[in-house]
Order: sequence, then C-alpha cells, then structure tokens
Amino acid sequence: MVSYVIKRLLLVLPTIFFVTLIIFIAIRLIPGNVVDIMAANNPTTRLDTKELIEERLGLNLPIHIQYGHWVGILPDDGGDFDGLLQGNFGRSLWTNQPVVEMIQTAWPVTLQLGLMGILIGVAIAIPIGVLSAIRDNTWLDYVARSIAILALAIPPFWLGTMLIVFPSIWFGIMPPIRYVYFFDNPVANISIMALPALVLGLEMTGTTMRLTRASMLEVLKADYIRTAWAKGLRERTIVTRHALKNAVIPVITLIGGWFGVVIGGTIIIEQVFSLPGLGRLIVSSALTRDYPVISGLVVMFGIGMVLINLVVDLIYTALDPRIKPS
Amino acid sequence: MTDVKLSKSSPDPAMPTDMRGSAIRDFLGRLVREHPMGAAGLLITLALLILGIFADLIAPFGLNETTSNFMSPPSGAHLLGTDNLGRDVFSRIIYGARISLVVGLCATALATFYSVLLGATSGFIGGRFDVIVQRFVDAWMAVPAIIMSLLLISVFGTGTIQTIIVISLALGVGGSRIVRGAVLSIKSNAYVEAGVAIGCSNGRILIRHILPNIAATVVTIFTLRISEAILMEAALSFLGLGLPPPNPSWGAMLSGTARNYMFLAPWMVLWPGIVLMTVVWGMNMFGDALRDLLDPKLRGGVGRFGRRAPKHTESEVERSHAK
Amino acid sequence: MPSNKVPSEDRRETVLEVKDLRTSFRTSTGIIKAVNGLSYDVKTSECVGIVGESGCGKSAGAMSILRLIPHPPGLIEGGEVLFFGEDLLKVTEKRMRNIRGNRIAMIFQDATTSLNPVLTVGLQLSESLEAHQGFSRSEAQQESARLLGLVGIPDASKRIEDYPHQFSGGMQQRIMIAMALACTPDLIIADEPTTALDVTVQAQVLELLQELRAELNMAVLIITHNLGVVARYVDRVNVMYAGSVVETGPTDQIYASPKHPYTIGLLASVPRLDGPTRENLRAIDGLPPDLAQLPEGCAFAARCAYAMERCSSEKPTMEKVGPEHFRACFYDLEKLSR
Repeated sequence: MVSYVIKRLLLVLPTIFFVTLIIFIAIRLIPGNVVDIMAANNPTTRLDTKELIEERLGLNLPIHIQYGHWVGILPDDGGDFDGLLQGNFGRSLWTNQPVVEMIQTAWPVTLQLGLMGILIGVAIAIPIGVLSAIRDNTWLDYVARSIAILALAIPPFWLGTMLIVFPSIWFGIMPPIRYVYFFDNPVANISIMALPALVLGLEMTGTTMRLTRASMLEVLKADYIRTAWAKGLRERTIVTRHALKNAVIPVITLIGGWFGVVIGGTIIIEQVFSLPGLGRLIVSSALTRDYPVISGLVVMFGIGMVLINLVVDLIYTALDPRIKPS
Repeated sequence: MTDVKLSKSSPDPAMPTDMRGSAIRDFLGRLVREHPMGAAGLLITLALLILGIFADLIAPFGLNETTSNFMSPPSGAHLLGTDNLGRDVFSRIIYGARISLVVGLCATALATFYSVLLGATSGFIGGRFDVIVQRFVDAWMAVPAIIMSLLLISVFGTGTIQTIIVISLALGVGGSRIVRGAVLSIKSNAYVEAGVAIGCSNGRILIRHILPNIAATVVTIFTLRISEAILMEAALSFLGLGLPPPNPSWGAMLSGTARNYMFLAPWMVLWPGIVLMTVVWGMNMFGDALRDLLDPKLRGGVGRFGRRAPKHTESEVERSHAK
Repeated sequence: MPSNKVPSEDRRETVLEVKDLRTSFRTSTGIIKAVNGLSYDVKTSECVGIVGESGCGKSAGAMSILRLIPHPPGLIEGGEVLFFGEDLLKVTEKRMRNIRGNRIAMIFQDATTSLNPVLTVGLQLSESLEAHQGFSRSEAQQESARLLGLVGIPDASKRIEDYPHQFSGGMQQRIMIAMALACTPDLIIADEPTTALDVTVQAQVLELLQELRAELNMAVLIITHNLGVVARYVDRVNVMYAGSVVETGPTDQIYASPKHPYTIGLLASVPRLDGPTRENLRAIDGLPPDLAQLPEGCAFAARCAYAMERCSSEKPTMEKVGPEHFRACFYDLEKLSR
C-alpha cells in the first residue's frame, strides 16, 4: 500500500512541475519590466537603483537559472538553496514582507471559511440528492432539482451582497466592521462567518446534489438492489445499507472539486464580506501587481489542488473493495 | 406446408424532402415537448441576444447618461431606479446585456477554438506528445479558473480586450479534455481505421472524419462555456479587475462605488444580479436540453456519416418440414 | 375471457397456484402484455419448470409473484397468486415483505451483479435472518457460516468476511442459493439459475439445488430457456409462449410425446447427439409476436405448421391429453404424428 502511494506521488510530480512552470512563464510574460512598474509608482527611483534592484531580483540572469533559483533547485551566489522548496516564496514588492508570513496570517480565515462552507454544502446537498433519487420524478424531485440548478446560476457575489444589504434595510443589522478570530471569540466569529459560509456552501450544492442524485439513481437500478427487495428488507434498510454506500463512491471524487470551489469562491466571498483571508490577499496582489505574492499564492493553490486530488484518488481506492492497489 | 411469416415490421419513416427545414422544426418540437425549461432557456437566450443587439433602440436612456434624479427608487420614469450618478439602472442593465454578450461570445469562441486545437491535436497525434500535453493540461486545470484569471490579469492588465483574452485562456484549456475524449473515441472507430488502411493522409482523416463527428461535442462545450464566461466576466468586473468603468457590466454594477450607496439604494445592486442569474439559468437550461437532444440524434445518424441500420436482420430461416 | 386453468389432481398441498395472472408494461411503443393469462401450480417438494423463449414473459411472471414489478412502467393487472391459499396480490405490503426472502425466496440469473459489491458475503446472508427471524448479529453470523458450508463453499467461517468479487461465478451463484435458503422458505424461485455459468458449473449448481430440495422439503420453481436443464431436474414442465402456458405435464411425457405444435418445434430444434451430423439446425419459422400487439386467436398461429382458420380467431383453452398432461390447441390429436 505504501509503495502504491509513493508511486502515485511520483506520477504527480510532472504535473506539479508544469504548475510551477506555467506560473513562472506567466510572470515573465509581463510586458515591460517589473522594475519599470515599481519605478513608475515611485518616481524618485534613480536609474542605478533600478539596476541594483534588477540584480537583487535576479532579473539579469538567464531564464532557466532564474527558474532554478525560484524553485530552489539551483543554488544562488552564496551557495544556498533558497526557493520554493525551501519555503521561500519571496517578498512583497511593496511592503517587503515575506510572502510566507502574509500567508500565515491569512490562511486560517480561508481554512475556516472553506471547512464551514463544505460542511454546509454537503449537509444540504447529499440528503436532498438521496431523497431526490428515491422519490424520483415526484414533486419533491422536481423542486430539489430546480433548487440545484438555481444554485448553480446564482452569482455568489450578488447573493452575498443581497444578504448584507437586505437584512440591513429590513432589520437594521449592520455587517461587522472588524474580523474576530475563532479562538478569540468563538460566538462572534461564527456570527461573522455564518453568512459567508452559507453562500460558499450554496455554490457547492448545485453540482454535488446533481451527482448524488445521478449516482443514487444508477445504484438503485442495480441488480443487487433487486436482490435486496426480493429478500424482503425494508426500504429504509435498502437505501441506507445497500444503496448509499455504493452511491457515495462517485461523490467522493467531487471532494477535489469542492476545494476548487472553495479556493475560487473564497476570492469573491472574502471581498464581499471583507474577510482577511487568502482570497482578499490574492485580489489585492493582483490589483497592485505584486508579483511575488500572487505567484507564491497561485503556486500554493495549484500544488495544493494537485495533492488534494491525489488524496481523493487514494481515498476512492481505499473505499471501494473491488479496486485493489496494483 | 407452412409459409414463412414474419411479424410485422413498422414502416420506415419516409425521408423528408426538405431535410434541413424539417430537422429544425423537429428539433424545436422535441425541445418544447421534452424539455420545457430548456425551451424557456432558449427564449431567455434569444431575449439576451435581442437586448444586446438592439440596446440602443430599447434602452430609454444612454448607458452613461446622467439625470438629475440621484438614487431615486423605481418609478414610472425610471423602471428600476437610478444610481448614485443619476444614471438609469434599467438602461444600464440593457447595455450590460450587450457587454455580456460580446465578452461572453468572444471569450467563448476563442476558448472553444483553443479547446478544439489542443484537444484534437493531442488526441489525434497521441503518443509522447499527448502525454506531455495532458500533464500540462492537468497542471493548468489544477489552478481554479478564477485564480488563473487573476494571475493573467496581473500580467496583461485590465481592459476589455484583456478581459476577453484572459477568460478565454482560463476556460479554453479545460475544454480540451472533452474534445480529446471525443477524438479518441472516434479514432478507434472502424471507418477511421478503414481510411488509414486505404491510405488517406492524416490531414484528410482529421478533416473529413473526425471534425464533423465532434461537432456535437463542440457545440455542447460552447453552450456550457458561454454562461461560465459571462459569470466570470461579472466576477472579474465585480473585483474591479475586469471591464473598466463606465462599462455597465452587470458585475461591475455591484462593485466599487455602488457598495457605498447600496444600503440607501438597493435597487442598484438588486437588479443586475437578478438579470445575470436569469440569463445564466436560461443558458444552462438550454445547454442541458441541447445536449440531451443532440446526443441521441447523433447516434441515430443525422449528418453525412450517419447510417440507418435496418430494423430486422433477416437470418436464413430453414423451412421446417411437417411430418 | 376463458381461463387456462389447470385442474390439479394431486393430494399433496399446493404451495403456489398462479391463476390467470396478467401483467403489463407501458412503453413508448405501446402496452406490452408480458404476462397474459398465466396459470400453473407448484406442490410441496415439487420441482416445476417454466420453459420458453426470451421475451415470453417468464421472468415477469416470476417477479409478479413477489410483486416486484416496478410501477411506473409495469402493472399487475389481474389474476390470483395463491400461496398456500392466500392471494398475494391482495395482501398488504407489510405482509408481502414478510413473505419475500422468508417464505418465498428468489435466485437471480447473474449472481455477480446480484450481490452487493461493497458488503461482505456474511452480512448479505445474515440480513434476512436478522430481519425475518429475529436472529442477533452473532447468531446470524454463525448461521451464515453454516449456510455457506451447506452450499459447498470451503472454509466457510473465514469466507463470510470476504466480498463477492473474491469468489468465482459458480461460487457466487452458490452464495445466492445460500441467501435464498437462509430462512428455509417454502418455495424457491430460480430465474435462469444457470444461464450465466459455465456448463460444468451449471451441473454442479443444479445438483446442489436438487439435494437441498430433497433435504429441506422445499418446492422449487425453475425458470429457464434451457431445455436440457429442464429434462434432468424438473418433475413437471410448463411450456410458456407469449405470456401464457400452452402445454403442461410431467417432464417425461412432454419430452416423449409433446402435444402442442410449439413444444414439438422447441424439442425438434434441439440438436441431438444421436442424430445425423450433417443435418441443418431446425428452427421454428418466424419470430415471437410483438407483445404489444397480440393477435386475436392463438398467439402461436402465425408460426404454426398446423394452423387452421379457427386458430386465428379463437383462443384455445387447456384440455387434457394425458395423465396430468394438458395443452391449449385446436389441432386434432391423432393427426399429430408424434
């Protein structure tokens, strides 16, 4: 089993390599020079300082060497390895703060938002999907499917905005001004995070519910369900013991997708609700063209997704007794 | 003596004299009957088209035309109210349709082009090339589309053209997977092998056999992507990274300065979202229905390469002898 | 509508009596009358066979007994299914649940897909015991191991922890039999029990059924299109065509002297080991009727070598042609040369 895991990890390496490559190339494609942009924003920069900065940022070296430095597989002048692999994601162009530090303060917020969102999404989507399949083609089914389809169409930034605006107009509830961390004050924190998590969860409900329903319907058509009926078991037992376990397996593959939705959705939702998480960080770094920050974040998200998908794959293998790791 | 009696076979439907006209009528009929919501979606999509194309004629006010009615609620003169600069919300929404349409269509067309290019070549050429390209696609798809867009925007900057290009890049690579899948399944079909066997050049096979058969897949991808593109443009504009003001992108109408006034004039942010939601829903419904209807049709053999299998295979029946 | 009722002459108890069962399915091409006036019976310890081509309604008939016809397309239109005198078509669903798996058990054709892949074999066996007979989990486990042993699976007590895919096709079918036997039912319905198996395994499975039937005094209803199976293991045969029985009788009589043109055709189409080797295979002319558009008279008339005018307008009823041997046909008995 361990050797199987290692084998899968190795297979994933080329993908990770490409992720870093894509981001590296994207940044290098910037028309003009990073330094020019810095200078444009800071008119007092002198010409020789520009060259110094270029040298410091390593922009005068050949491209593959730059890449090697950035990733941390080639040593820099001092002989040290100091790149992504060593945990050095660079520093903000404007504040000079290490990107890693910026990530450290922001990620708990996003993590909490993501987890709450997934929980809410799953708690809504799976039971409705199952019910929808069992009561196929009844009014319950149609209502559920309509909700799922609507959930897919509702723009999260709009829904979030509505959930801020209308409670304020109708009930006079104003959105909180400052963020409160969970361990400082759990109650206040949950009250701040509840609405954002709900909106995030809704984004996931659409696809999850549809897949759960489709998967359940497939399972219910199976011969072994017919056998279960022929054995005289009650419907409840058939659904929970026989059908569910089989139906859930394809839904597991969605977990990777959930993280994708979380990462993508968090960007919008943190903007709408003013949460100091990774999403807001990435937006601000895009707005200010803070390349080290944005490339560091995208690399992190990209590799994270690849690894999450790998984990999901492994869980899938472990769950289905028919699949043997070979 | 017995005579061979076969059970009655249903008569073959007469070939329509006007293939194309009746095919469309047939399609529409099926759409309305079997997918009523898809038909509604089609209407919504058409409405979007009309609003977008004829915005100048339909909108009562200009898209940036200011009046002296600041932030007035919906009324007779201003159906959906005005915003903080006195602009008519209703008109801006109509012009917003044009923007969504233009950006959506362009971005999607480009994206579909990339998808086909990447997917078809990768699938067709196969081998090492395919493996490497697929790893690249994996990596690209590992990054969520909107994050990829943000990265690209930080590279290209903001603006209408940039937005279109960024969206097309973010969405295009993913679609290549589906195209590749379709190409692979067709590649293994007998008539392609036959083409190779009689010496058709690769190019000829690609153009004559493969491309026409992935047409349905391509149309499906296109319809799926359009609503994604529209949503993505709205999201980017909302973040301030999409179309620059004063473009009345529905997403932009919810961002920036609007957020300062939304508590006082909620109609500014309510209606753009509702319209956006309706359009996305309609397009999704129609796309769903289209997919449903196109797939079995393709199997049935509409198009140059379809053949209708005979209803009964008449095996050689030995006459039985009665004693 | 004249019924094809077969009067019973035996003094053993009648476990199952199907009378004029009618089941149909609504499809886009019409209403298919899968079961169209089906009647037969099964007595204690008997092994009865239902034989017919694919699509003649055999499986639909079997599923109707347990009321397992999926409702939106299907509907049991009428008739009676008497289980020890109780009409199963009229009892409550709760009573039906009590009977399924408990008093009447069913074995399906493809054991591989009929067993749940993510549940252990032991669990699938103990389920019925826990549900119907109030066994506790541990008691049920023990009994499951015993049942597995009974059907000839070696190392049973360890094997109950295994999953279905870890067994061969033949063993999977044995597991299905074990599942059916769990609550010692009065009747086992085996729907094409051997079709999905290798020839050698087929024999083993049938032998097993035979032994168990004798040991446990169960009645068995075998549904098959395989005439060979029927010949060896079955006491009485019901030949089915287009939804109803056309001939019924003790196996040796049916084989030795079939009296219905369809049966004659069926038996003639089986190649014989002792026949001339160069002879072409004989088939019955024509194709099975469209069950959505059944003709007015005898359903077989269109393909029958002996068809008369009467056959296309009147439906023949069952008449006796020998001890316990009945057929539904108008053609003169003497004129049938075999």
